[in-house]
Amino acid sequence: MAFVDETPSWAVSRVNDFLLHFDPGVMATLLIGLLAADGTMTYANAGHMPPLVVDPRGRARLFEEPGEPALGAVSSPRYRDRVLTLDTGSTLILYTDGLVERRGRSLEEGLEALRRAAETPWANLDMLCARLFGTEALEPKLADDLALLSLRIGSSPPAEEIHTTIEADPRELAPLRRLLRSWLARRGADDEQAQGVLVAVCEAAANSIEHAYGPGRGSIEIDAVESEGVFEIAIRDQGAWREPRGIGRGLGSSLMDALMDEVAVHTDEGGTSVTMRIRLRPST
Amino acid sequence: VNAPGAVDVVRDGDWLVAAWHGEIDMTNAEALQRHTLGSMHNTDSGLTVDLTGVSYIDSVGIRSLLAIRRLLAARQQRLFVIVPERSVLEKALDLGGVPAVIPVYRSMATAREDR
Repeated sequence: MAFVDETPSWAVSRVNDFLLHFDPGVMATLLIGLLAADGTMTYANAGHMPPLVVDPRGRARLFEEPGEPALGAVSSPRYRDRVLTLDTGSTLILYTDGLVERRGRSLEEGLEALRRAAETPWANLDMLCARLFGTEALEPKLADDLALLSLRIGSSPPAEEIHTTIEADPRELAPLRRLLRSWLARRGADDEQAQGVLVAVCEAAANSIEHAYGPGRGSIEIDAVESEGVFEIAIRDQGAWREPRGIGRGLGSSLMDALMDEVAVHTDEGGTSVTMRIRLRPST
Repeated sequence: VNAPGAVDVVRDGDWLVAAWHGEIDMTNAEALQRHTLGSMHNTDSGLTVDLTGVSYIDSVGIRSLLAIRRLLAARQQRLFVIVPERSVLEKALDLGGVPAVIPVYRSMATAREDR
């Protein structure tokens, strides 16, 4: 369906007509936006989740407008065109309801949780998406009903290095893996090599999560750099040395040692740092 | 996007086939293990854990597999694991000693022949 000279509301209405005619009884939500070079986006929203915009200073805002009906719900609904402006350095996030709907939680709470997650500092869009997807355990049944699109105006190129902090919470491991996986791929690691690094890093991070902190919160810093084919990743916590590390995690430690060329562990009163190195490509 | 861990169990005669999916780590390994074992009958001959749909496994998941093996061995039930050719899981599983104690097959068909 081409709509070169038409508006998003026109396009949404046509899709609605089409659906009512050819597939009666089917309902769907749709958001169509036209983004102009100056950063203004004209969009129409048929029952879809409100756009989320993170401004250049990192504040996130939901563009909640009075609801307009989902596609296939009523004949000839009046869809309106709305406009939002994306300044240079701001980020637009569009997503399906699977991302914010959870059993036992209102949609309002889900949207606020999403908004807050987007405000937690992130270094790049990979990391933002990882955060938004991974901050909680998702219902497995909803897993196919998840889509997330993020777009940055005047964005900087993907990070050359990773410097990030995660909560000492097992649920942070999956987003950390996604962040590392895309970084490793960009730096030329193949799937098998990447998997080895992911396991080694997550074993170290899991060790910090289990042993570094008592009940309550702590954080773990992860720094990853690559130079001439040598990948170096450091995992640091500030936990008290509560018990000798490695107890009950003998397999984790031997995996780390076997998967990396070199693993160094340093523990003092300031915490524990694990630095691991592996050559994955010949130097150029 | 990798789905969080999940398991589908299917009964195949007197064997149970448990297909694990997604990424297996400390958030879900224990639940997968519990659910898988909880689906077994005392009269079952064995269990096949299919890792074809698994995109990540680390020491916690490997320990779950080894724990399942110990429990089944005590009940004289067998355990097979399916890991497809060229799986990215292979190295961690090898290092974790899985193939040394649990028969690993490339496909459901080859596993079935050996029952």
